Amino acid sequence: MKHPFAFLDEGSKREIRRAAFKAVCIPGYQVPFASREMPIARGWGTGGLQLTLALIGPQDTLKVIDQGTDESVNAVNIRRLVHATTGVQTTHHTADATLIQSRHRVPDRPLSAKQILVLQVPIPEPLRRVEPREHVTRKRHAEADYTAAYLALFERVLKYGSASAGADHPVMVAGRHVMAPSPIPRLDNEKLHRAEHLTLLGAGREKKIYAVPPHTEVHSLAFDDVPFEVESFGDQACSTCGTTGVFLDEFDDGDGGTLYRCNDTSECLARLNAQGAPL
Amino acid sequence: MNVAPDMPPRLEAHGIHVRHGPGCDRCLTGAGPEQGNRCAACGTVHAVRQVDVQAFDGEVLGIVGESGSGKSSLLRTLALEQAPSAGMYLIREDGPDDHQNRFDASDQAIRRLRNETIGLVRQHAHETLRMRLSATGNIAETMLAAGHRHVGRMRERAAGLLDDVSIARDRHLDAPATFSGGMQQRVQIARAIANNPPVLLLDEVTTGLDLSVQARVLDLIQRIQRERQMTVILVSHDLAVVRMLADRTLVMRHGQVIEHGLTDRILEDPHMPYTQELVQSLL
Amino acid sequence: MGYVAVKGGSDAIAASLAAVERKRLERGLTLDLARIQAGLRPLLDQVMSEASLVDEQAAALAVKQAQGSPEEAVFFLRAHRSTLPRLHTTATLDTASMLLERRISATFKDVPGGQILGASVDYLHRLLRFELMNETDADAAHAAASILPTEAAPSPADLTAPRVSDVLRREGLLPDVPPDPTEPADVTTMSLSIPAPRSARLQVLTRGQTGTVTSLGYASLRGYGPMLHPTVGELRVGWLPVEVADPMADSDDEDERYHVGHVQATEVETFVPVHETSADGQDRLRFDIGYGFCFGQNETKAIAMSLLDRTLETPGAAAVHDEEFVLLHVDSVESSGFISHLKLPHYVTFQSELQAVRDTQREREGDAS
Repeated sequence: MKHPFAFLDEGSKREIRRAAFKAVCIPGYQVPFASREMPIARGWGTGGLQLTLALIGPQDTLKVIDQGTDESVNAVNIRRLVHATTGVQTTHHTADATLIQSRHRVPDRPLSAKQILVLQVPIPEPLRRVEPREHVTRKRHAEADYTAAYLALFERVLKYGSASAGADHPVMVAGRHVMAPSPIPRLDNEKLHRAEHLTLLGAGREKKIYAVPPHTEVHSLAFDDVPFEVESFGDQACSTCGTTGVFLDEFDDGDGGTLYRCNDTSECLARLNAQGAPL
Repeated sequence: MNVAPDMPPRLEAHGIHVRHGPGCDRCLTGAGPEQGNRCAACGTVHAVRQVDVQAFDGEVLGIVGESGSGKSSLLRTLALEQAPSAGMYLIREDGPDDHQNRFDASDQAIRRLRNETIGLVRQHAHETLRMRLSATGNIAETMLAAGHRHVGRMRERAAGLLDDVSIARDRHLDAPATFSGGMQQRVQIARAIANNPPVLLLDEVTTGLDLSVQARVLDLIQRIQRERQMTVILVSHDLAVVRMLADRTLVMRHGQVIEHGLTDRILEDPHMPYTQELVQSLL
Repeated sequence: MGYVAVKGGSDAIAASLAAVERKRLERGLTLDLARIQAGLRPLLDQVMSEASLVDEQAAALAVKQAQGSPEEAVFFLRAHRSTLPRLHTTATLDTASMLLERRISATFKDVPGGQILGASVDYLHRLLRFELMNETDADAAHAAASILPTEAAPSPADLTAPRVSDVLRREGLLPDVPPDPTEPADVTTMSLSIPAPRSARLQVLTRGQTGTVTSLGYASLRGYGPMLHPTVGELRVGWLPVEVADPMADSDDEDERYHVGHVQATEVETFVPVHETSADGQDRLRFDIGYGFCFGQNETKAIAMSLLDRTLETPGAAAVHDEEFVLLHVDSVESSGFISHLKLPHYVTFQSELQAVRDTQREREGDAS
């Protein structure tokens, strides 16, 4: 016995592609689909993986990142699986990839119209924190009743003076649907706004696919007098490549101080190499 | 009360019927069972039977009756919380010629009406309030639902409303779960009027409170109603509450209105034996 | 050539997987699939039932690769299931035609068709048999020869029996239920939507993790549920003939079907007394039926499933009446997956939260000064 190309049977792939098409037609709307069981565990990127496997063809070049790095164990694991069942080329270079599967980050380098970004989503429902019942949240979306999402932000402002609540800050897509952008940092929310590329989001365990098509309006929820704020690292620059204004990881410098480095490691390398490599 | 003589009622409902069960030839054709509100033939309960309600701007209408009389079912339909089996309901938002039957409104339209046109205060605060959010957040919620997106202005208005219902400033950011029953009712009232609705519905709002606390809540309702000239419909099993607030009163029994008129008239000269009993018990 | 990426992750994973494989093989012994199939029947039944795939050999391979962990074995088999094309749909199985290995009723002693105790551990003393510690294949063969049936085994035709519920229906003790021709839901090809049709609920329950279904069924009996004592009207274990319609034929004529094999299954119907107010206002007691079915011999799960079928059909405040609560949490692959994902790195989300915490602290300090 041998496994089929890209693991899933063709009927399943067609169904996933149909759900993705529908998602593109209704930006930000969560399209239910019959998520398949995958060889990796639920919650480890099976939604993204199903999209990747349904979309991938022999000509594609795949990049997989987890928390900003291609060498995170989970990224390695997913890349290994796709490569083993398809034989497609893989890369670390954002610019060379046609298909990028990512967990919790949008790459620093702006993507082009020829690239598709697939984001893994743990909790696709932006209203889940305030409303546990699925049949209620579906109705809220249908009626565009987003009071609950704003109320959560309002309470946050009352308590902490800021509407910015860590990663996965909800966004309004195309002026209609409030969407969970997946737990990307707030800095990455802005990369989805009027982007050149298609972003597909897949939640395997919760069985939802949704999309931000190219050139779509994406606005992070905020108030007229309390604007949305992205993470700020002050004037900190990456200690490796010297860049500012990107998402940085913190490290202990071994001397009681803090060191910052680009979270997007492959882009950091690309920047270093552009500055002139020492070798 | 201060009613312009040529103005049609602010709110008008006709032939409201609330039925639980399929009904049969006997109880459906007669618009209800002959005795009580449960059909002896088919077991269907007719909670509200062919009730008409009118209320004018600035008027307080009382609905009184024992538990099971159908008064709370009636209020729930007027609050658009529960669809009646039959009936028609006008709320004149857009002038005297507004003839939309609100029972036919879409879910979305009903949500807007309940948020902006009809304020509702219930007996149990936990059915309305989010007990773990702040009092301010509870009031902001209705404003957010009405499309407000300015935190500063919402905070300011919430503070004004909470001041109005005498919640101390240092408790505004506390959760209603930490409040006394009377305070919770006052937060409910502040929330209900946050969007300046022309209509306020009150369902047994003082039931279960201590007498002194009851009096303060009733005073508050009276003051707010007068200041804002709201149309208020007040449901209570307690004729004393109705006497204090209502201009006109409906007496309900077995799902029907058995007597109606000016509150003073009903108290001084009750026509029906059941009403006489109620008034007797008050003395 | 410039800077190159560190390959830490790849090496770490390779080493970790090598360690797993080393642990599997370090004692120099391996599990033979035939031995798994011969000696671990209940485990295979549980795995096939939770994976909703009847393939004994694949299940045995899954158990072998999972080194005996049921949760892992189900995971392997489910993933395998995702690679298989759906070629045909079987004709509706009629469980009245089940070739019975076992069939009991707790409602009637003299149930029509008779009680068949069959192979059951219900009356087994759970005493460790130390003499089995050194049992050899030769011992097994010898022992087997001595306990093989001496009488001729009854023919399959003798081993069918009418369902107890059908008997009661004929006597008017249970309401007649006409066959429902609606195509049943399939939650593996269409996403589950709430409220779910009963067919979808039953499918989710029969695929549910055995322990979870059992626990929830147990909770419903203990008072976190309707508190009515249900009775097992019938529990039957046996083999069901599986037929597929001729794909070339125009109509689904029974004579034109192909027999593709038998599957072993457990079916349970529990009778639950319900109070009912009839149209004339009279209070009455009647019976409702809770239905449980799973592949293989899996009796506790099938009974628990029948209890949950009933609680999900009726409204109530307890969690077992809540469709979303029950259906979205009984699946082994989903629950174990999401729990274990907590081990994944969350550096970015944590960093973002850290930022938010620091910002608010700065804000507060700003307010104070």
